Amino acid sequence: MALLRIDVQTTAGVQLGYGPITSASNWKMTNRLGRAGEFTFQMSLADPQYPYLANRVLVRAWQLIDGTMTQLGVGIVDSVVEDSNANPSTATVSGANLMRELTWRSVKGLLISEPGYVSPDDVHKITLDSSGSGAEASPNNYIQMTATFDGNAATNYDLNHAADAFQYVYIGFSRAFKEVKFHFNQVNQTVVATTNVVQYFNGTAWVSLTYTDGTAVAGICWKQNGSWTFTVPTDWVPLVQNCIATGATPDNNLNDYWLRVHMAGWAWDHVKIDEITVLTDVATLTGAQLIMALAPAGWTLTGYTTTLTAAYLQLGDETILEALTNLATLVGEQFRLTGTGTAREIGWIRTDQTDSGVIAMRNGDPTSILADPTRCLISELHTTKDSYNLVSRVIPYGAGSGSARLTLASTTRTAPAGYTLSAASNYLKFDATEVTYGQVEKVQVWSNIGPATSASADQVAAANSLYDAALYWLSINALVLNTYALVVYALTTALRPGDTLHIVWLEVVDGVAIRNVDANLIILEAATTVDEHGTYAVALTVSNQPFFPPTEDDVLAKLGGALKHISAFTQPTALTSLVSATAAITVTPTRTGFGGLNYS
Amino acid sequence: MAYWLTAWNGLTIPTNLGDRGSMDIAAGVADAPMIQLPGGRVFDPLGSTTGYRPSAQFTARVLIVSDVPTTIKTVLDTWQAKIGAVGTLTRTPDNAATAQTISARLLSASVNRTLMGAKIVPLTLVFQAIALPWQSGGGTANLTKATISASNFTSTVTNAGNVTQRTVQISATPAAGTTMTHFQISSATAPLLQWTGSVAATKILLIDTSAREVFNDGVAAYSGLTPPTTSEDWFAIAAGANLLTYQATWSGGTGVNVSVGFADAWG
Repeated sequence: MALLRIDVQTTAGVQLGYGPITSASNWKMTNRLGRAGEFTFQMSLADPQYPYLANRVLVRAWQLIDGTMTQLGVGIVDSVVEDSNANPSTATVSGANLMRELTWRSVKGLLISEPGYVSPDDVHKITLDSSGSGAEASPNNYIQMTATFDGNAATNYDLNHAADAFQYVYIGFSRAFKEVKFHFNQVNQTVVATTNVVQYFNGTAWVSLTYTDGTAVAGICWKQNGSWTFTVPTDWVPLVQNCIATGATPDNNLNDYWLRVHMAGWAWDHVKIDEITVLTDVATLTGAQLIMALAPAGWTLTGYTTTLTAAYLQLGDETILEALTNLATLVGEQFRLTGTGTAREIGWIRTDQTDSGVIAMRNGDPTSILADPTRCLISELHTTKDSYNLVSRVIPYGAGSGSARLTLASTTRTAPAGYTLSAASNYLKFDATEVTYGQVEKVQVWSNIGPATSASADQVAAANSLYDAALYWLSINALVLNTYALVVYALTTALRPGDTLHIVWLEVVDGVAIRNVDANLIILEAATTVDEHGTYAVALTVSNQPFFPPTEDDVLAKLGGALKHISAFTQPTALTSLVSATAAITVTPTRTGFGGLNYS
Repeated sequence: MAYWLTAWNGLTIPTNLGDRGSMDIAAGVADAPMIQLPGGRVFDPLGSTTGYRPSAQFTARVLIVSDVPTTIKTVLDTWQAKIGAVGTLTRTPDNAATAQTISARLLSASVNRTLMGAKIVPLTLVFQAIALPWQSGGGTANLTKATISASNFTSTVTNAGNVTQRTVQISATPAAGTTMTHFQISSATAPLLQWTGSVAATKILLIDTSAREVFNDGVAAYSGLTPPTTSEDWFAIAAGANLLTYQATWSGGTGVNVSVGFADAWG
C-alpha cells in the first residue's frame, strides 16, 4: 500500500508550502447523503509543512490506488489538537468537508417561489352610489364574473356599460401581484378613446395605481390582449372586500389584495373577457437553484437543477445547508456533495438511486476480487432493524401557534393507495403499518411551512405543502428502518452517498442460514480510511431508506431550525395589537370547553 | 570490564551469573521514535524527513574484546551515547568495491552481561534506516547538466546501482536574460513531472524528490508542481541507462540549465 500525500491549500485550491504533508499516519474522510461530511488525520508536529496548516485552510489527501493517484477527500481544517504526551508530539487535524461552507451563509428569509400567472381568487363588479359616497348603489348588487377566472378560456363574461362612471370591477388575489393579464373573446367595441382608472387600497382609501396599459390601442383600453403592468405599491394592503370600503355587508370574505377599475370617459362596449390572470409568486421547481444562488462564490448546482415537486417555502434564517435540507425534506428528494478536486458542487439527485455497480460480498477470492472493480469484500457487517421511531400515522402542523397553527384542514390533496387522509382530524395514516403494529401516532411540526397570508388560497397552498411533507415523512417513518454498517476492502470504485450497493452476506451455521442479506441498499455514508498500515478500507452505512436514523443531534437541530422560523412568518395577530391584561381572568367550569375549563 | 547491575534501593543484586545467568545493562532507548506511516514508511521527527520507500532495521550483533576493562567500557559508553542519533550507516562489499551508505538512526546499543564478559562483551546495535536503498557516490555522483536551448532536450544518465533511485534533485536555472515559465522532465520509466510558474534569470528552481519539496529561488513553490498521476514517486532513475527528456518554456536569453543529481542505488 502506498503513502499518504496531503496537500495544504488555500480555499481557492492554491498549494501552500514547499511540499505536501508526508507525516500523516492515517486518514479518514466521511461523506454523507444530504449532510456535511468530516475528516481527520494525525501528523507529526515536526513535519516541515506543519506551519502551513492554519485553521480554515483546505487539506486534500491522495493515495495511489490501483495504479492511479486517487483523491481521498478534501476538508476544511477547523481543529488542530496538539498532543505533547505522544512521543514524538503529534497533531490530530480534523474538520468538515467542503459542504461546511454552506453553513457560512444564511438565506435571510428567502421565499422559495417563482413568478407565475394564476387565476385571481375573485373578479366581480359592483355599481357604486353615484353620490360618490363609496357605498353600493343598492345592496347586494355584487355580480361575480366567474367566467373570467375559471381557468376556462372557452367561457367569457360580456362587460357592457355605456358611459357609466360608477361601474367598478374588482380583481382580488391572496398575495400582492404586479401584473394583470387579459385575454379577450371580443375586445372593446367602442371607437372613442377611453382609459381605465385602476385603484388599490392603501389602508385608508382607494388611490390611483400608476400602470402601463398593454391592452390599449390608440387610446382605447381593452382593445387587444395584453397586461396591466405596474410596480407593486408598498402601501397596498389586503382587506375584506368591500366591508372596509363601504361599511356594508361584505360581498365575500376574501381578505385579498384588490384592484378596482372603472372607466374614465366612455364605454366598456361589449368587452368579452375570456380570462384574467395575475402575476404572483407560485410554487416552483427551482427551489434548489434559488437557495444555491445565495451560496458562497464558487458553488454550483449540478445533476438535476429542478425538483420533481414544486415547492412554495418560506425560509427564515436557515443556513444554505439547512435550507437545502428543508427543501429536500419537503419534496422528498436528496442531494450530495459532488465534483472533483476542490470543485464546490451540490448534486441534486432527486429520488434517483443510481446503481454503483458494486457488489460487496462476504466470501470470495481476494485476488480476483481485487482485480474486479465491481466487487469488494466485506470484513464486518452490523445490521440494525430499528422500529423505535416507527409510526402508523402523523399529525402534522405547520407554522403558527395554538389554534392558528396550520393543519391539513384546507388541503385539497387526496391520499395515495395505502394511505388514509383525514383533513378534519388532521392526520395521515399508513394503513398497513397500523394493521400490523396498531395505532402509533406522532405530532410532527414543519415550522417552515405556513401561509403567506391568512387568505384562503394561501391556506390551501400551505396545507397542500404540509400534506406533501407529511406524506414523505410518513412514507419513511412507517417502515422498519433496516440499517447496515459494514467495512469493505479491495474496493477500487468510488462509492457515492445516494447510490446503491448490492450486499451479499450468507452466514451458515450447522447448515442453517442464520444471516442472509441479498439486497440493493442505499449508501447513506461512505467513510474512506487509510490506517497506519496503509490499508485502504471503506466503512459504509447503507439502508433501505434514503435517510439516517434520527439522533439526539437531529432532534436538537430540528428544534433550532424551528426557532429560526418563529420570526419568519407574519403571525395572525400582530404582537402590537395584543392588549395588556387589565382584569383578572375568570375561569369557570364548562361542559364542552377545552380541558373542561372555559377562559373568559 | 563493562557494567554490572549491583544494587537497587539499598538491596544487593547478586552478581553470580553461573552457567546460565545474564543481565541486560544500560541499553537505552531512542527518544522521539520514528512514526510508522502507511505502506511501511517512516517519518523521522528529529530529521523532519519522510522515507519514501519502506524503511528497514539492521541489527549488528558484535563482540567487544579486550583484556582491559576500561577499554570495553569506553567502547560501550561511546555507542550508548549515540542512541537516537541519525548518521550515515556504511556497508562495504567483500569485493572492496565502493562503500554504500544509508541514513540511519541508532535505536539501541544493548549489552547482555554474561560470565565471559570479563574480556568479551556481546554488543547488539539496532539501526533504523529511514529509507532504502543503499547509495554510493555520496549522493552527488552522476550529476548531469544540460542546457535546454530548444523546446526539447534529451540526456542519458546512468544509475550504476542495481535498484531504482527515487532520491533525485532536479534543478532548472534560466540563463542570464532568460525567464522560464514551465519545466518538465520525464523518462521511459518515470512519469511526467512538471512545474509551471515564473523563474527569473539565474535563479534556481529546485525539485527535491526525496524531501518532496519545491523551491523557486529559495521560496516555497509547490503550488506550481503537477505531481505524477500514476505514481507516488515524483521521479525516479532506474538501474542502468536512463534517457531523460526535458522540456522548458522560456523567453529571452539563451536557455535553461538543467541539473539532475542522484546517487547509484543498491538493494
